[in-house]
Amino acid sequence: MNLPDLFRNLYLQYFKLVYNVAIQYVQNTEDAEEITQDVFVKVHEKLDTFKREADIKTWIYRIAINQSLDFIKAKKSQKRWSFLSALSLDNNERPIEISHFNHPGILLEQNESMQKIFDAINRLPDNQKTVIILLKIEQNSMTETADIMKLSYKAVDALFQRAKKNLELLLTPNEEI
Amino acid sequence: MKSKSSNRDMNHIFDSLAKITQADPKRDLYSGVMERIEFQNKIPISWVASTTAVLVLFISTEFLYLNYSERKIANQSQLLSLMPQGDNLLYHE
Repeated sequence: MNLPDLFRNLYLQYFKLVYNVAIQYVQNTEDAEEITQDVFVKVHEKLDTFKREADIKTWIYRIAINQSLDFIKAKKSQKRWSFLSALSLDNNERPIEISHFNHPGILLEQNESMQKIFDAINRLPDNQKTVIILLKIEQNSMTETADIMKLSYKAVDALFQRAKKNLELLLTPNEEI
Repeated sequence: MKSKSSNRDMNHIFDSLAKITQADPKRDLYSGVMERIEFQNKIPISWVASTTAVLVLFISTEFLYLNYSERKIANQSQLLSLMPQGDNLLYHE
């Protein structure tokens, strides 16, 4: 199979997975689509250098996670800059907040409660957020999660326990990490 | 008791997270990916990187050269100031 065909097949096989991983991180369809595009551009770039040390699904998962985390970081620094520039602007000229909670996998009647849960997940450190997404939303097994995160089974278990505890604190009113 | 109830709460939260359904992206996503790849192919990253490297090298060489010649001029003027200043006037004039 030549490279363009291989790439197209990979896209058809994994675009849904990548899009759904991205949406768990950003909870916004537009941002998730942008991340999905970035992920596949990266996959295309690195496809000829991909060594079969890792399973291709695990490899794509890792790219999707890193790209989502990078996207969030970039957006945060962008927000910081727009906040600073907003201080020097008039009220009428202030930039509009673009990212809003828009998760297509959630039922409308659960939207409010799920937004609260995602707000708490978003406040967790990156690796704790990832472990919750991989284990509890994407429903990967502990072994698969360990493989994707390049951690041992024990480390994933410990990380999950910490994430669970922190999430519980964040979801309890008036509690901080 | 408290930990039992909080465990129940967390299990309830994880149950609702597990119920999140898979979403479908819009259909023209693939063409967007291909457009980005084609754009990247038009301007290869290696070309951009090498041009940047040449520019940085040129600017730093220029900077070093300017620094060196400034120092050279400064040294020359220091040397001149150390030399005894000859009086060109002759006594019999």
